[in-house]
Amino acid sequence: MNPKLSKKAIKEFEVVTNIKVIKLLLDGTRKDIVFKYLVNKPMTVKQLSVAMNKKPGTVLHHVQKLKSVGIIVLVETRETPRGIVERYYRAIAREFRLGISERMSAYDESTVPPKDRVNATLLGLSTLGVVITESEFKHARTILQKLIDRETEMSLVYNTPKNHAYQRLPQSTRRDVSQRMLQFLLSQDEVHQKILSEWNGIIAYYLKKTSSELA
Amino acid sequence: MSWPSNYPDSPDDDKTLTETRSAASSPSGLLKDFKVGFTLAIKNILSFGLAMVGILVVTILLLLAILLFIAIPLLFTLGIPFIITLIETISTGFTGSTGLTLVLLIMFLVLPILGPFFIALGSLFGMAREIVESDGTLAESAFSWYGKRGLSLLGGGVLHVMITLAPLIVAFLAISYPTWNPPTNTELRIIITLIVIWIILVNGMLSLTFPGIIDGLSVFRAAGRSVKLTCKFPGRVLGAWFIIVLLTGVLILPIINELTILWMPFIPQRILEMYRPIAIVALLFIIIPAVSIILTRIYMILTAKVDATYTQDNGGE
Repeated sequence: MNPKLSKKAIKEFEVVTNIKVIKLLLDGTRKDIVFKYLVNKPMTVKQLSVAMNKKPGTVLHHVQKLKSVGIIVLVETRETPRGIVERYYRAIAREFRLGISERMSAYDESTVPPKDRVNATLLGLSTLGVVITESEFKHARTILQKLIDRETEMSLVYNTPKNHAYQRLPQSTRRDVSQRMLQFLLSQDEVHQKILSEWNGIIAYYLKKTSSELA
Repeated sequence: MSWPSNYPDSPDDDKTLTETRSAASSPSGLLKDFKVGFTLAIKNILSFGLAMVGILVVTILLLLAILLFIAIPLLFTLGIPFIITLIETISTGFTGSTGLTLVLLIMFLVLPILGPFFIALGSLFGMAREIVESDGTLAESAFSWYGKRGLSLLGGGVLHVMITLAPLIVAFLAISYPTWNPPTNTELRIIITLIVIWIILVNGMLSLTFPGIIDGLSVFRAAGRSVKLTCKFPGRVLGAWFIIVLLTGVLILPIINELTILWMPFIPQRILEMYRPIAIVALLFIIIPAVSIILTRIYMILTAKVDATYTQDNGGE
């Protein structure tokens, strides 16, 4: 039986940049523990060992390593009537990205981009004609960061551990539901509208500039 | 801005959680620790037994390796006459020296010998962790813990010994410095009583150090956590420890030759002789594994209570 209540909120997203942690996650068993099982639901060492057909001792060693670097957390300790003390572990996020460009995820797309991708996004926009000058880069970065922060903040309104039915949705459905709900919430949010307008102004300015240069 | 919960918790959930928490710290929790500890130790007696034998062999080999590691280079670099002189010096040290020299000499000789035993004992806590967390273990697991947490377990054991012996060393130095000044019988009685209380109490407070090391903590953090948990839940930790001391005492006191005179009026010599091997086997294969399971279980429950992740499953399995 899995716990009904997860006391710590699961993040939608986590970027792993520490090389030590990335190396740790490249191990086959640990990769399976995190990306195949613990991103989906909390599980005990015994459940993991049964699911993976491995010795509990081996799984426990891997789980302890993952816990020590903060990739997984202990969410519940349940004492069974027979006296076994089951510890339920869960990944800290539903999706992990290794570094900036590489990614290992439970699904392909995400609604909330991580902060570390702001620079990459700004540089990537140049491929679409939005070539931000070096002097304006910092300003554009601040605006985009604000936009992302606001979106993340709004997504936390509904993405709480207490919304059990939502948390139990299949990942792809949850992603779609999240996208639609976030879209609605953001359209109602004045703060977001203000930042978005500023951001759109930057995009429009640089697109116009590129067009005039080409002409 | 808040969002309505679409899967509201039962209003009784918090109440139930509080009730189970208080139940876990009650005397019934302590009884359950022992019941579960002994049940699981007996259930896993084969794994523990094989692990104990295996660990004993490895420990002896390790001791030999340590001795060889020290003896062979000494033999080749300094020669046999030096070794003889060294042994004579150590012997003289025991008889002639007093105070700090003697203390350092004992520590220098005792700690390397005890080291492998600390790791061996710690490995049993690793097995106990597997049993308490996943309801089963294998004999080979002990070696895995031996290899992966060896140094930390060694450090844990050394810390135990140092803290336990610290006041004894201070008392010894106080008696022996500047001149040997033996205490009177009354003083000795008080000193021995205080030492016994200290040894039992401090080892009780540090009893969760090995489970902490197995949980991935460093030696000092594990010891610190053990003390903190004892201060927060003295009934559970020290209560269990006193019962363990009592049980072990009752089991092993009759097998100590020097104390035979105490038991002679109550237990016939023939029964006492039969009892000795049984007590040693029970101590090695049941009591020690059960103690490691009990302490690990207590550690896991109490840390979960501190981290607020503890719940008790009242349903069937």
